[in-house]
This record gives sequence, C-alpha cells and structure tokens, in this order.
Amino acid sequence: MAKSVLVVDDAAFMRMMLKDILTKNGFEVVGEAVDGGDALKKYEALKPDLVTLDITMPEMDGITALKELKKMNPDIKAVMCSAMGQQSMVIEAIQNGAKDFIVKPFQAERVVEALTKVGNM
Amino acid sequence: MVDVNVINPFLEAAISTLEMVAQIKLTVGKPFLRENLDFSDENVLTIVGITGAMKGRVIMALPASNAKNVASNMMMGMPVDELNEMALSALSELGNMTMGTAATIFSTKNVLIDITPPMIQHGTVKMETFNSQMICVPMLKDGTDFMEINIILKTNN
Repeated sequence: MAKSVLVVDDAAFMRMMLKDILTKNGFEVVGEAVDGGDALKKYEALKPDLVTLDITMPEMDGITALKELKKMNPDIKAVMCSAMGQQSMVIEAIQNGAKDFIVKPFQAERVVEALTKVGNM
Repeated sequence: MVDVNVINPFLEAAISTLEMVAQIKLTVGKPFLRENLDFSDENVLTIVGITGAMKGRVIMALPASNAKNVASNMMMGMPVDELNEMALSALSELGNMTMGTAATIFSTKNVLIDITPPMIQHGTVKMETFNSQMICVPMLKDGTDFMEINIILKTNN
C-alpha cells in the first residue's frame, strides 16, 4: 500500500513540487501544512506514515514542530527538507529525531530515495 | 570598500541555485555601492533578512519578464503569463534556497547566520536604510543584465 505523507512547507510552490514528485513515485500525499502549528493539527488528524518538514517557516519553525510531533508519536518518521543545510542544523534535526535531511534545492531522486528508505524503517 | 569574502558566498549561492532550479547560467557583473534603493514596478523583489554573525538583508531584483522566465523554469516549463500566487511562491522559494545555500557556505567558514522567511515586493518602491552598506551586484545571462543581488549589511554593531 502506498505510504501516506504529510508535506509541511510555508511555500505553496515547494508543496506543489514535493506533492508532484511523491505522487509520481508511488506515495500518497494526504495533507499539506503551511507551518509548524498547522503540521501538529494535521498530523494528529491524518496520522500519516511520513512527514516532510521545512525548517524556516513563520509562526512555528520545523525544528520546534519536530520536537512537538515527537511528543505525539515517539516513533515519528520525519524527514527535514530545508534550504538551511549547515552541519549544525542537520545535527540538531537528527538529534531531535529527524530520520533524514534533504537540502533544498534538491533532485527528485534524492527525495524519493530518502522517503522510501525512511518509510521502510 | 567591498569585501569579496562577504559578497562571494551570496553570489556563489545565487549562481548554483539558479542553475539547479531554473537551468539558468549566470555570471557576475561589476559590483557597485549604492546610496538608496529605487525600483520601478517592472521589478519583482525577493527580500530575505539575515541575522547572527552578520545583520542585514539581501534583495534579489528581477525584471518582471525574467521573473516569469525563472518561475516557469522552476515549475518544469509551466507557462507563466502573469505573476500569480504560485509564480510568486516559486520566486520566494528561490530567495529561500539561495540564502539557505549562502548560509551553508558561510557556515563552512565559521560564520554562522540565520535567515528570515522571504518576502516578495512588487510595484514601485523606494527604500532607505541607515548605518548600512548597500552593495549591488548585477548578474548576467549571456553577457546581458538578468538580475541584481543587493547585499545590505549593517556596518556598525
């Protein structure tokens, strides 16, 4: 069965791109959230298998959202998807439970590879 | 005086991002210092703030026709006749990715900066800033002006 994904990004363009890549590669995008707060609500309602999380977002950022999501589900399968690729940022995300980190701009294959791997964990 | 160590990461980031997301190859024109920012409504400005080891903002200025061209390429060739919400979102994300890449390059030189979510401005605008240096770098495509990168950094801390 197709893995369900919640895509979290403040940019409509990026949500569209991720949705397009994932849908074409056998994932089902069940929801989109525009910031961390929205992500928490939609995660609870939709219970997706996977979450992609942007970091730089207004209201609640992706790292804060990740910490909150981890409280809701300690086994959450979240993949960060951010333009902020500094080593310190990657380490912080992984320490807070992110399963992988995709740096924008990305190639479609990188996204599919990461979500496939994390989905099968 | 323009410190190339300060501006180069922004330019490198813009070149690599434009090439990767829009298949547009840019080269660096001749940088100059400007006193104020004065844009006509023919431009789309993507503004991203910088905090941390440097403070200020970067404004990427694209003439509307080039902005449509970039947005269209970013959306895999989808025609962009007008700068609708999705096209502006793509340009905003271009700013985010460029500045995120710049932040990553700076981090390898132990300069740690963070960036703000991008803001898009279009329409005629005049901007003033104080205690800041404004460096404008024209970016060229096939030898012709394509976009401007304005790097505005606070000079005293």
